[in-house]
Parts: sequence; C-alpha cells; structure tokens
Amino acid sequence: MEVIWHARGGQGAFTAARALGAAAALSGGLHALAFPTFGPERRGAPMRAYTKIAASPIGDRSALRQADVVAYLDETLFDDGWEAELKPGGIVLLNAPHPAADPRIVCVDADAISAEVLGRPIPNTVLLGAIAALSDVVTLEDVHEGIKATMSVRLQEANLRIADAAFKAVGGGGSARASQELDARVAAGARPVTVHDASEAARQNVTRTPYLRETFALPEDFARSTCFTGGHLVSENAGWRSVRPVLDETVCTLCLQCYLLCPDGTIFKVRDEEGNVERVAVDFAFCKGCGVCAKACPAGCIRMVPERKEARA
Amino acid sequence: MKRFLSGNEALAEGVRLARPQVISAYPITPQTTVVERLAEMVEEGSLEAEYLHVESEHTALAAAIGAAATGARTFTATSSQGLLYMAECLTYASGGRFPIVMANANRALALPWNIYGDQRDSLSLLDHGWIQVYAQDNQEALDLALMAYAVAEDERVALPVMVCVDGFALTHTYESVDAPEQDAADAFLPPYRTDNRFNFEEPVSIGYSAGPEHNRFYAYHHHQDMRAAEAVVPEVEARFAACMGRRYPGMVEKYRTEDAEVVMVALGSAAGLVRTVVDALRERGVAAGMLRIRYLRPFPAARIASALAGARAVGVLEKDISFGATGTVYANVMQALASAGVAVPTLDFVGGLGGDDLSRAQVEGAFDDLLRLAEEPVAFAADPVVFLGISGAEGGAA
Amino acid sequence: MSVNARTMTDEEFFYGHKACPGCGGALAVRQALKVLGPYAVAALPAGCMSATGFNFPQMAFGVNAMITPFAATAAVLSGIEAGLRAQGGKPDGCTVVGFAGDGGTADIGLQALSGAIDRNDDILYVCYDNEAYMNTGIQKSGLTPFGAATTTTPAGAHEHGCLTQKKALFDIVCAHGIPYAATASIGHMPDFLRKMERARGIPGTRFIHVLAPCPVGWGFPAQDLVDVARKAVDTGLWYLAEYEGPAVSGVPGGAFKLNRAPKSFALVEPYLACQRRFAGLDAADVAAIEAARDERWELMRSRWIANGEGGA
Repeated sequence: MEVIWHARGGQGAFTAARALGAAAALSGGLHALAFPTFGPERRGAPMRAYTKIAASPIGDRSALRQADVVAYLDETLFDDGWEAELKPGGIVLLNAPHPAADPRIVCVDADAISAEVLGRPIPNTVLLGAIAALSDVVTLEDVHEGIKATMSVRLQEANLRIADAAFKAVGGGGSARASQELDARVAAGARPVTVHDASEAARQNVTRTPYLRETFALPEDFARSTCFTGGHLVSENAGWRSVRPVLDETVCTLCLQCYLLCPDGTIFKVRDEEGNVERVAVDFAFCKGCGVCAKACPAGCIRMVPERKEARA
Repeated sequence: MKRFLSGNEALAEGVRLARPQVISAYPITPQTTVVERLAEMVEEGSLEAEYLHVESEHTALAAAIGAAATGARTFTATSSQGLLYMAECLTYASGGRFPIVMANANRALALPWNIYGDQRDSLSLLDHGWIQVYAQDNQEALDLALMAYAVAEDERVALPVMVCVDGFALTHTYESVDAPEQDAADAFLPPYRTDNRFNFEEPVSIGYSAGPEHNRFYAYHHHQDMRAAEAVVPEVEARFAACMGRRYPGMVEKYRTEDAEVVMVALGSAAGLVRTVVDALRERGVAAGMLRIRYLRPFPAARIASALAGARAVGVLEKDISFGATGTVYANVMQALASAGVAVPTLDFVGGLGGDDLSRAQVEGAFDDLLRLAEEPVAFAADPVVFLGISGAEGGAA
Repeated sequence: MSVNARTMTDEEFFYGHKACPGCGGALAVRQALKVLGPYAVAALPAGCMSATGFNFPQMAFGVNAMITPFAATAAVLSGIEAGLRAQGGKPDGCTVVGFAGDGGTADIGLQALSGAIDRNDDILYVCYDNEAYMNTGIQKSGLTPFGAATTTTPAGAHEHGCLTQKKALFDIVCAHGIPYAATASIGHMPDFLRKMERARGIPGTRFIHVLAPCPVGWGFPAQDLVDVARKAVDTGLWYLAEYEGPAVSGVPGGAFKLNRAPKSFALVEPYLACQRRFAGLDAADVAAIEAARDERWELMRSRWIANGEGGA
C-alpha cells in the first residue's frame, strides 16, 4: 500500500506518515518507508509526506506520483489534480465535514473528531485511524503500536482515543458520501474564492516589486550561472492561508499600521489620482493569513475570517 | 624583458599584467611573497586594484566571489591549510561560475606540520569544480597567470582557475623569466565583460538555491562547460603565441613519447627532472619518454590514453598519496587508460612529500623499475604504490 | 523627510518569500530594504531569509541580492563593495547590505564581521536575531537567551533550557570603534526605521542588531509577533541603543546612547509565559533572568548616557 499525505507544514502529516509506517513495520510484520518532501517552504506551506508499505524490502526511495490512498489533512489543499494521483481502485481521504459525491472520496471530519478529544483540531491521527478502517493492510491494533512508537508518551493516550474514534466513524462505512454542495465545490476547483484581491489596483504604483511571471527559461539559459532575474515569482503563497484578513473600510482610519507591520508586505497603499492614500488593499495571492495586521490595527477594523467559510459563502 | 625572478614574483608579475580590479589576500608560506609583491605594486601605483587585507583565507575567496558578482576581475592566492580553510568557498566560486583566478603554492598538509612543497593540497580538492593547471617553471607560472584569465573568462567556460605552482621548488626558486610588456598583455587579454553580475537597471538574484527538480541542470552545464575548456585552452595558447611569441602544448605535453617503451607521467616542476633523466636514458639507448599533465581539470583522458597507448610500462611520479588507495594522479591516469581500453602495466611513484628532495637517483631508479616492469609485470603485482626513499635502496621498488 | 509608513516607498523589495507566517526576520528585511531603496545590493548567508527568499525560480528580492557561504556574509559584502568601487563607484543611493541571523553573525560569521569592521569597509550589516538556528529547526546559538528551550538545549527535569546568557554582540561590535551601531526591535518599528535611515547616511561599516521573534521557534501564535518583540524591550530583556564611533561622535572610544531607559520594567513572567520555549522555567530561573537583566542595565546605565524616553 502506498499513501500520499497532503497537508500544511505543522499539521503533523509526517508524524502520521511515520506512524502508519511504524504500524506496518513494527506491528504488522511488513516493510515500510516514510518520508516527507523537503522544501524551502515553512510552517503553513503545503507539503507532502509519503508512506510505502510492502511485503518485501523497499529499495525505491523516490517520491510517489500515484498512491492507493491520498490523504488530505487540509481541505483547502484539495484541488482539480486529485484524480491524477490516485491509482486505479484507490481512495481519497479528505478532512472535511461534509460527504463527497464521488464514491472514491471518503470524507471524515477530522477537525471535529480531534477537537473533541484534544480541544483543538489536529487532524493527522484521525486520518491514520481512518486508514486502518478502510484498508486491510494495517489493523487498528497496528495503528495503536505505530502511535506508541512515534509519539511522545504525553501525546499517546489522546491520540489512541482519536484513532479509535476515527476508526469507528469511518469503519461503519455508513457516512453518507453524497453531497451536492461538495460536488459543486470539487467541480469548481475547491480553491478559496478571492473576494477582496485588490493587488492590481495597488500595483499601479510599483515597478520594482516582485510579481508573478509566466516567462520561463530553458536549462541552457538559466543553468550556466546562478544569476537570474530578481523579483521573478512563479508560485503564490495563498495556499498557505486558512484564515484571511477582512478589512472594514468604514472603520479604517488609514493609520497604516497594518501596512507597516505586515511581514510579507502584502498590504498595499492604494492611491487616488492626486497620489493620496485612499485605502489599503491586500494582495491575496501572497497573504499567508498570519494575522499580524489584525492585531496591529488600533481601530480593530481587521477580522481574520476562516477561508473555508469564505469559500462556501 | 628578461628578468631573474622567483616563481612567486613571476606569478605576481603575470597577475599585474592581467589588471585584476580586486585582490583579496591572506598570507601563508610559501605563497606570501605573491601577495607581498602585489601589495607593493598597488602601493607604487603600477597596479590599479582594490586590495583587501582580509582576516582569513575563507574571507579571501568569499570577498573575491562578492567582487566577481559585480563583474570585477579578481585574484587571490593561497596554499595548503589555507586552501583547505577556504574549501567551502571553492564550490561557491565554481558553482556561481565566477572566473576567479587563484594561485596555489603547492604545500604539504598537516599533521605533521610542514611548510614545504608537495601537491596534496590542490589534488585533494580536484572535485570542487575548478580548472586546475600546474606550472613547470617560473616562466609558465607568469604566463599561466595571464592565460588563466583568458580561459576562465571565455563565455564557453566561465569557471574559476587554480594555477598551481610547486612550493619552494618554484615559488622560492629564482630563474630567468621573460616578462611581457603591458601592451602585449592588453592585446592578449581584453577587459572582463559578463552578464553574470549585479544589474542596477534590472536587478538579479545571484547564488540562489535550486532544488532537486533543477539542480541537475546546473551540474550538467558545469560539467559540459568544464569539458569545453579542453577546446578553449589551445585557442588561448595560440593567441598567446601570436601576442608573446611563446608556445604552450595544450592540456598535456608529450616529451619523446612517440617511440617510448617506458613513459613517466609527471605534474608540475618535477617534469624538469624527469625530462633530464629521459634525455640521459635516450643517450644510453633506452626508449624513455615523459608525459606532463598540465591541466588536471578538465581531465584530458583521451590525450593521456593515446600518448601512453604504445608504451610497455607506464609510471606516474607524484607528490601526493590518497591514503589507503594510490596517488590521485595515478588514479586519474588509470581511469584514462581503462576508459580507452589501454592495457599497460603501471606503477605509482610517490615522492617529494613535505619538501623531500626528489633526487635524480630516485627518478632513475623509478625508470629502472619501469623497465623491469615491462619485462616482468608480475613482480609488482602486490601494490602499485612505490614510496620513493622508503620502498627500496635507491628509492625504487625492492 | 524621515521614513515612516506614509512616506516610505510603495515598492516592496522582499516579496513572495516562503518564510513562515508572522516571521519577524522577514519583516526586518522587508522594512530595511524599503529604507535603503531600489539600488541596495543585499547579501545573505545560509539561513531562513536566504532559504525562503530565493529558491530557483522563485526570486523574492526586488533588489540585487546574493547568497554567501554561511561564515562569509561580511566577507562577501566587502568584496561587493570593493568590486563596485574598482569599477568606478556605486550608483547614487546604493548601499551594500547584509542580512544574517543570530548564528550567522554572533557565531560562525563573527570573524568575517570583525575583519570588515577592522577594514572599515563601506557596508551595512543587519543581524536579524531570532535567538536560535531557526533554519535548521531551532538549535541553540550564541544569542539564545538563558532558559530558552531549543532542540539542542531541551528543557527537562535536569536542565531547563539554554544554560548560557546571550552573547554581548553589540558590545563586541562597538569595541571595534565602528562608525555606527544600533540595537532595535521589530516591535519598535519607527525606531528601527530611524536607525536604518541613520545607518544609510554614514560612510564606513555600520551594524544594526534587530530583535526579530520567530513564532515557530519561540512558541507563540503568529499574530502576536509585534507584541512579543515589544514586550522583550518593555521587560528590559532587550534594549534599544546606539553607538557612534570616534570618527562620527568625536568622542574617544565612541559614544553610547540608550534610546529607552525606563525607570521600571514590565513584569518578566508574562513575557516568558507567552512563549513555549520558556515553559520549563521555575521561579529560580525567572529570578536568574531578572538578575542578569538588572546587572546588564546597571552596566548600561552607569557607562552609557541615557537619553530619549528616559522615564517611560
């Protein structure tokens, strides 16, 4: 069995990948590898981890392109590319409160299940328990051993309970898989809808600020030195965000504290024709949702709103 | 103009003629007189360069990298432990494709502490992506300082060059040298121009990181462009000959190898002694020859194999040892022979370590071993490494 | 005109980077570059800002920028400056600036920094201090404070975290007689901007040590970034100071100035309690932290001239 774990840095995907590998190798008598992708991105950034389980020793340490189980610890990471990663007969395990239309997608409300035990949503062990329920490669007892082998004693007891709860929630197979709502969202790409992206307006004033570009060089053009166009961006940071700042312009005093203190510089001054700052705008392509602006605002006019709710609205 | 110069002075003269714009240097024996001489040149005004008095070799090369990133022509020099201390920066310089020229006064590595010449320092860093060339005498040291910039800055190459000169045997030995005029040097070496530099109109990022999906392209082109230097070196030497009237033989120098039955491969200043012994042997009717490797990176494997293909026995004379294996030059030569399918018995003569004098008797003894090897290959089957001055009475094999 | 939120350039020169949400280092680099403007040339050693700032083909710097070997920030800065000068000088408004973390400055990069100050090369060195090796996952550096748990100074029953005091980096730098040096905090942004602006206008070597909290490594919610940085100053565990060397101040040995010298400090406990890295401390540890702070302030108050917001 091969598993691809999708999550954000800090959500515990690699811990889950390791625990599953340990379950198979230490308790299940199988061979297993568990490894994360290592990138420059930091906490909150989309990342992957992999678990490979087999009856014989595994020599291939390369990343998985397709898997039997593709687990999403964070629903906002689920997008159009999901089918390409699925082996024939494989399933998607999605941390989402509502069932999905496609029978290959199993939704489990991992945030709720884990929050009930821990008091805050930490979805990794829930999906681990769900895998035990859905696959015949590892049992719940194996998963218990895997948790004991990979988590500190302090965390074990709660996580064993979470795994049991998840096993029960999924094991019945009774969770309805039909939901017009999610179906529609999957069809729509399931990415958070950008509701207040005014970066275009803000960018009227800037020429040196790094920006997203489509131009791309061939290896013989870029790889004969390490000198490359500055400010050349190819990927957004929007996918890191689980909450977004929403600004009430009727209360904003234009004090610019949010602008001053944004670690990412994603709040721009928008100027009128005379050059006066008339409002601020967030570049949601690069806002990571850290919330520093909301905390910095002396007027209290910035609220951090969950992306999911925003997307559903 | 004829002058009587030490190897270091000759090198400094060559560097002056190349008009480097930034020199960063830190003293270490036996390199010190190079940077002293350059400091005097800057003081007296015969060399217009920014001279950085850095606090370590690590900074010497790092500062040269920073200066190269502005598009400046740069020079630094080091030796031995200093080279090892800056080793981390070597791959920044080569991976960044900065055509820095650095002189390395070849010296032994500690411990035991030793300031004298051998080639363990630069040979231990063959894999750091620099072009490595070894001078045979002071004239070549001077000329290489100039030619190294021409090779390094050629846009097909764009790599740093390490000019290796044997500590004391060259650096502190005086001999007659023909110093070119500045006009001729300028005609040979135009100012450095590159796009691999900061740009105030359209800013660039230099020396960034590149992940697994892109990394191989940088390594591939580094390798290809290092290979390209094999074609650029003869072109540069032809232009040098046209400007200065002195010819150089390219990646390797073949000396009486055409009909040679026994050939000794040599590196650096030891070639002078080997050449003398070859001549003496020829007078006695012995078909001896020498192959001098000038450029060890890029490695001219095919040229080496073809030069050695007709021999009945081949020796490598080198001032280094890779402990537990063989000398590094020997290992490289064996790879060239194996790749070309040349089957010839070989021996690795390791000598001149830590400044130990390489004697004529030792080299003659080594040739005796080769002659015996040609007749009786099995006699040397146990270990190809012969430690001169230890393994036998004459310094040859027992 | 002084640089503030209203007057500063609308351009961003550090944008689209992959630093963690709420990164103090990213904020420091962002604002420093906004003060220096489009002709700055930046050099960064291995560390969070280089690892997250330019990974091909995502290039987050809008100014010329380059990576340096870990130990070589100041060395590369010296080379850049010499290279530009050798080719006919820098463009107007060009500052050669380095951004290195606490480990890259106070530990492995200290020798090169000392050499550059000794040569008085015309460079500006900014140390963004997040008090541990964060890029490699929170290991103790010479600027990790006493009591802070890191992965190499774990807090347990026997030891409660880092056993050593924060290295007196500012004092070490000033002892060189550097033309200008300052400490700052991203929690006091106007002060930091003013010091960057002051540093920009002084020739020779300049150094700014800016405290830049790390939500992940210190263990606090990302949105609390500025509060935590501010509290560090309010409690007296960090201080805002400036030094002008003999050449700038005309004073033999140079002149120190405390920009904030409050009569009393905010309580230390709430500052420690809001960070997971201090969770292992007991009352004796807290007392030791306060004692070390008081000793430091006694030295600063007695030897340096208190100025600015004295009674705040």
